[in-house]
Amino acid sequence: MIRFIHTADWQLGKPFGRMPDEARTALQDARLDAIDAIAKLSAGKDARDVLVAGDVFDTFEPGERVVRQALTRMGRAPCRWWLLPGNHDYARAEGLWARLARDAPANVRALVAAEPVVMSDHAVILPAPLLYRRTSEDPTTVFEAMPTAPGVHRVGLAHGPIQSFSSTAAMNLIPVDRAQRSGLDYLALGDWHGFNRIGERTAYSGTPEPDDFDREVTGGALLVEIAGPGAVPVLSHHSLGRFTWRHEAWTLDGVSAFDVQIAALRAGADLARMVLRLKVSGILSLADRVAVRERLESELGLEVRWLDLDLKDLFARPTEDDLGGIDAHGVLRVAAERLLAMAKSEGPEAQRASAALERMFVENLRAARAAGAEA
Amino acid sequence: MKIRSLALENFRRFRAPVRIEGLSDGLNLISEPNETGKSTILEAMRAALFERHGSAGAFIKSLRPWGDETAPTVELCFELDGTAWTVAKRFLQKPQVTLTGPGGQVFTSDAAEEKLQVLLGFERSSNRGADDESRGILGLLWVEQGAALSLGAPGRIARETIQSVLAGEVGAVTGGKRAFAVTAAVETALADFRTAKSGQATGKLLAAQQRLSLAQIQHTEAQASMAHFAGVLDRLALARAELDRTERLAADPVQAEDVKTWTRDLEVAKAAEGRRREAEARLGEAQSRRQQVEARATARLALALQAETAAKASAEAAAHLVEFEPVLSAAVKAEGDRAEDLKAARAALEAADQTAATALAAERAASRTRHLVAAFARLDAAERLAKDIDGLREDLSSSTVTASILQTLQDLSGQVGQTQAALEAGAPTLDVTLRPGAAGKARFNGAAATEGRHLIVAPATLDIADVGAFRVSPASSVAAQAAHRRATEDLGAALDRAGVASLDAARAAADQRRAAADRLKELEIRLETLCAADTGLDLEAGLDALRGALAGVDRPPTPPQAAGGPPDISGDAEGAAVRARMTERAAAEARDAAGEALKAAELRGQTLSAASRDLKVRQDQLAAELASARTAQPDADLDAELLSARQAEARAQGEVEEMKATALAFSVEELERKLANAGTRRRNIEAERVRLAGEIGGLAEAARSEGERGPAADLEIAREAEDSAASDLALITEQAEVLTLLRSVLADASREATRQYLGPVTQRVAPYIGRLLPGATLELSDAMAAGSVSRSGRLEPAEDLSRGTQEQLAVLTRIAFADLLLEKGRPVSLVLDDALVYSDDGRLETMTDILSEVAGRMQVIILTCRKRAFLHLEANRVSLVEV
Repeated sequence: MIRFIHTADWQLGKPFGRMPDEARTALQDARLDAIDAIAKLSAGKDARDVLVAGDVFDTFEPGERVVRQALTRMGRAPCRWWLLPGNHDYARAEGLWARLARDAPANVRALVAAEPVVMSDHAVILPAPLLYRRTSEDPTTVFEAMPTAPGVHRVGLAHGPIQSFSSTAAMNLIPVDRAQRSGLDYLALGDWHGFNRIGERTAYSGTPEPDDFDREVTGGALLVEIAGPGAVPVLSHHSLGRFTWRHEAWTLDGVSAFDVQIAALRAGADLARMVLRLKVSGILSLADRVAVRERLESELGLEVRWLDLDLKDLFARPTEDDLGGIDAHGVLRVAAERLLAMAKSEGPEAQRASAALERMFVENLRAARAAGAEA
Repeated sequence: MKIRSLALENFRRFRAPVRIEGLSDGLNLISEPNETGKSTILEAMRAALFERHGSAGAFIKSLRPWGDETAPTVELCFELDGTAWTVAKRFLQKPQVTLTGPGGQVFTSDAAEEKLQVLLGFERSSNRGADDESRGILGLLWVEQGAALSLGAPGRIARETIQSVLAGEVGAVTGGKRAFAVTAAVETALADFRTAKSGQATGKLLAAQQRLSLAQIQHTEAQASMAHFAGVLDRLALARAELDRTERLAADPVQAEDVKTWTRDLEVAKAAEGRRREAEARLGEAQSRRQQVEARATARLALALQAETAAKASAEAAAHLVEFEPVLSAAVKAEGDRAEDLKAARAALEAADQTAATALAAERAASRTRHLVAAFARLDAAERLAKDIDGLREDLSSSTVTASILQTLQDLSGQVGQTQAALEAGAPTLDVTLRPGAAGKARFNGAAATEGRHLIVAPATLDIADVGAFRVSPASSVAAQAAHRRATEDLGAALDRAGVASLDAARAAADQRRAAADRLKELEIRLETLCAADTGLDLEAGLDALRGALAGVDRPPTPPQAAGGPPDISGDAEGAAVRARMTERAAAEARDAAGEALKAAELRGQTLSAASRDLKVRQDQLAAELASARTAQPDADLDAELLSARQAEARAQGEVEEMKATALAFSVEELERKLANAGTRRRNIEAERVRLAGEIGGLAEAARSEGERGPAADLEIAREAEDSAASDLALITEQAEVLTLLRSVLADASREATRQYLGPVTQRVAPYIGRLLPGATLELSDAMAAGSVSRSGRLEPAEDLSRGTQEQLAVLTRIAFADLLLEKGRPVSLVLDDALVYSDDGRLETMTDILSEVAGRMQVIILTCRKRAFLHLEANRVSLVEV
C-alpha cells in the first residue's frame, strides 16, 4: 500500500499583468499559499510524498524571490516534494533547475533527469522531465527503458496533453495508454488545470489554485492510494483553491433583468473570492444603460476580487424620455439629437457618438443634481 | 438705474473729500482735463458696488493715494425703480459697508454686499478684485477708458443675463445654466486629456502615453536581459560540451602509444647517426692526408720549374747589363760638352753688360751738360726781365692817377659843367660887334672886348673908352652862382691832389699808368715761363730756385749741336747685352738637359745591375732548395706516398656512404617534430581545460546571478504590462475622442443657438449702424461681441475696421444690449469714459445724437477730457466739487 499526493501546475510567479496591483498581489500570494495547503493536506492524509507533475513555476526563470518563497514553504513542511519540470518551467541547461538541484532543502528533489528514482522501498518514480518548452516527441517514451525490480510500484510522473486541441502539431503529447504500455501502476500528469481522470491508472490532478477564465475548475490536489503493485489506484480530489474564476455572459432587456442576474450571482458564490469576467449585452434605454453601468462599476466591481467588464454589446437606445430628460429645447437637446443621429450611422464614429451621448446624459444628470442640491 | 451722486475721500488722487452731485435722468457730461481724476470717478463707482469692503488685495491697496496708509472711502447714491439707495464703503482700515434703502432699511457687512448683488445682478468678486466676468451687466455698460476699443465680449454673468432675457423673446432656450454646466464639465473632463489650445496630450492621456512608452522600454529591456541570459546559458552549455571534448582529447590512448613508438625510434635513429658521423670523421682524415701529400708533390714540381726559370732570367739580365755600357759613356761625354758651352756664354754676357754700363754713364753726363747750358741761358734772360719788372713797378707806384681817381675827377668836371649850364640858362648875352679899328677901345671886365656873344653870368663891366663903363648884372641867382663856384673849387682841389693841371692831363696820366700795368703783367708771365721747373736738373719752379741751383756751378761751354740730335751710344750697348744673355740661357738649358740624361742613364745602369744580381741570387737559392728536397725524399718515394694516400681516402668514402644509407631509415627531425607536436598538443589541451574551467565558472556565476533575477518572469511581466498599458491608452484615447466629439457637438449647437437668439440684439443695433455706416449691417459674434460688418455684400471682420469704427460699434452694441435689458425691466445705466476718442467730428456728432436719444430712455453719463468736442451737446454738465 502506497499513498501520496499528486499535484501540478502551481505556476508560481504568474504575473497577472492586466490586473490592478492589489488583485495581482492577492492572486500571486494565493498561489504560494497553495504550497502550505498541500503540505497540510499531505500531513492530514499521512501521505509523505508530494509529486508535482510539472509547471511548478510560471517561467523557467521566475526570479529568486518566488523560488525562495517556494523552497522555504516546502522546506518547512514535514513531507518530501518531488518536482518535475514542465513546459512553463522546462529544465533549461544551467538554469533554474540546476540551481534547484543544488540549493533545494533536503526534502525537495528536482527530477531533472529521465532516470528512475526510488521513492520508497515499495515505489519508484519514473520521471519524464521536459528539457524544452516544446518537443514533438512523446516525453514519456523514456519509461520504456526504465526497468524496475519486481514487486515495486511504478509511478510515472509527466507533463503534457494526452490529446491535441489545436490544428497545429501537438507538443509534448503523451499517449493515452502510456500507463498500460509502460506497465505503470499510476501515471501522474500535469498540464491540464482541471482534475481529470483518464482511465484507471492515469489522471491530471489540476492546479491547486485556478488562474484563468478559460475553464471553470476547482483548485485542489489528488490523494492517490494504491493497495499493491498492479492494484487500481484510488483517487480522491481535495479542494484547496482560494479563488474562483468565473466567466459570465448576461443579456439584459431592462434593469429588472439585471437585478435578477446580480441576485443570482451573489447567491451562488462568495464574491470576495471571485475573479469575474462579465460580458453584458442587450439594448437598454440611455438612462437604464447608465444605471446598469454605474451599478456594475461601483457595486459589483468592488465586491468581486477583480471584474473584467465588457459592455461593448450593451447598446443604448435613447428613448423620448431620455432626450426629454436632457432638455426639451436648447443647446443640449440639439447636441443630443445630433449625437443620436451619428450613433445610428455605421462605423466607429457611431460608437463614439453613442458614448458621447451617454457622457452628456451623465453630465446633464450631474448638473441637474447639482442644481437641485443648490436649490 | 440712475446714479445721483458720488463722494470719495482718500481715493487714488483724491486725498481730500470730493463730490459729484446733481446727476440728472438723461444725458450727463462730466468734462475734466487730463490728470484731474476723471477715470477715478468710474473706478470709484465700480469700487462702491463691486469690490468687497473686506478685501485687502493688491487692487484694493492700489486705491489708496500714493504713499498713504489711509482708508479709501466712497459713497454712491443711486435710484432703482424710483427708490433711492445709498451705499457707503470704507476699505482697508476698519473696513465697512452700509447700504441704506427705502423706508430707512439699512444693510451692513456681507448682507449689504449680497443685497447689492441681488439688486444689480452681479456676483461676489474674487480675492483678486472684481472683473468683467463678475460685474455683470454694469460691467458691460460702464465702459472704462480704452476698453471700448477692445470690442470685448460681455462677461459670463452679463451673457447669461442677456441670454435669459432673450430666451423669452426668441422663444428658443439655450439650455441656460445647465448647458453651461454640462459644457464646462465636458471642458474640465477633456482638460484632463488634452490641452484646450493645441489639443496636445496632457493629464491622463499623457500619463497613459508615458506609461505605455515606459512599458515598451521596460519590455525591450526585459527582452534584452532575457536574450543576454539565454546567451549566457547557451555559452555555458557550449563551454561544458567543449570541456568534455577536451577532456576526451587529453585522454586519447592512440596518441599515447604513438608517442611511445616515436621515442623508441628516435633512440635508434640517433645511434645510427653517431656511427655515420664517425665514418665521416675518418673520411675527413684520409682526405686531409691525401691533400697534404698532393701538396708536397705539387710543391716539388713547382720548385723545379722555378729553378729553371730563374737560371734563364739571370742569364738574360747579365746580357742586358753588358749591352748598356756604351750608352752610359755617351751620356757622360755630352754632359761635359754642354758645361763647357755654358762657361763660354757666361763670359760673353759679362763683357756685354760692362760695355752697356759704360755707354749709359756717358750718355747721362751729356744730358746734364745740355740742361745746364739751357738753364744758364734762362737765368740770364730772367735776370734781365726782373730788372725791367722792377723799373715798371717803380713807375706804377709814382703814377697817382688811378682809374678811380680819374672817375672822381670826371664826376667833378661833370658837376662843373652842370652848374655852368644852370648859370648860363637864364644869363643875358652880350653880342659884341667891333667896328674895325675899335679894338682895344672897349674893355670887357678889364680885358679887351672880343667880338662875339658873351654870356653874362656874373656882374660884368664893359668899359668903352671914352664912353664910360657899363656895368651889367645878370639876373641869375646867387645860389646857382655859388653852386658853380663850389663845383669849380672842388674840381680844382681834386686836380691839385692828383697832381695834374687839368682833366685831360689826368686822362693822359691814367692811360699811361694802365699801359705800364699791362706791360708788367706780360713780363711777369714771361719770367714765370723762364723759371719753370726742370726735371732734368731736379729743379723747382721760381727764379730763386734757379738762381740757387746755378750758384756755384761752372757755366759749361756750349756744346756743338750735332745734326739729328746726339748719337744713341747706350741703346746699341744694351742690344748687345740682351743678345749675350739669350745665348747664356740657351747654353744653361742644354747643360741641364744633358745632366738629366746622364742621371737617367746612370739609374738605368744601376737597375740593370741590381736585377742581374738578384736573379743570380734567386737562381742559386732555388737550386739549393731543390737539391735539399731531393736529398730528403727522392721523387720516386714521393709518388709512391701519394698513391697510398689516395687509396686510403677512397676506402673511407665507401664507409661513409654505407653509414648514410643506414641512417636514412629513420628521420630524427621528423621524429623530434612529431614528439614536439605531441608535447605542444598536450600543453594546449591542458591550457584549454584551464581556460574552459574559468569560463564555465564565470558563466555559471552569471547564469546564477542573472537567473536569480528572474529574467523570464520579468519578460512575462513586462510583456503583460505593455499590453495592459496599450489597452489602457486605447481606452483613454477613446475617452478623449468621445469628449472631443461631445465638446465639438455642444459647441456647434451653442453657436447656432447664439446666432438665433442674438437676432433681437442685431435688430436693435441695426438703425444705429444704418446712421453711422449707411447700408451696412452688424453681425454679432457667438460671444456677443461685434463680430463683423457687412457692407455692399462684403463681410469685414470687426477687428479689421478702423479704430474709430471699432469703438463706435462697441458703444452701439452696448446701447443695443442696454435697450434690450431696459425693455425687460433690468437696471441699466450707461457710463462712457472717453469712449469715443478716435471718432472724427462727423461720426462724433452722429454718436452724440444717438446718445442724446438714448438718454431719453436711460441715464447716460459721459466722462470726457475733451470739453470742446461736446460743446454742441445739450446735456447736464456736472463737475467735481471739493467738499
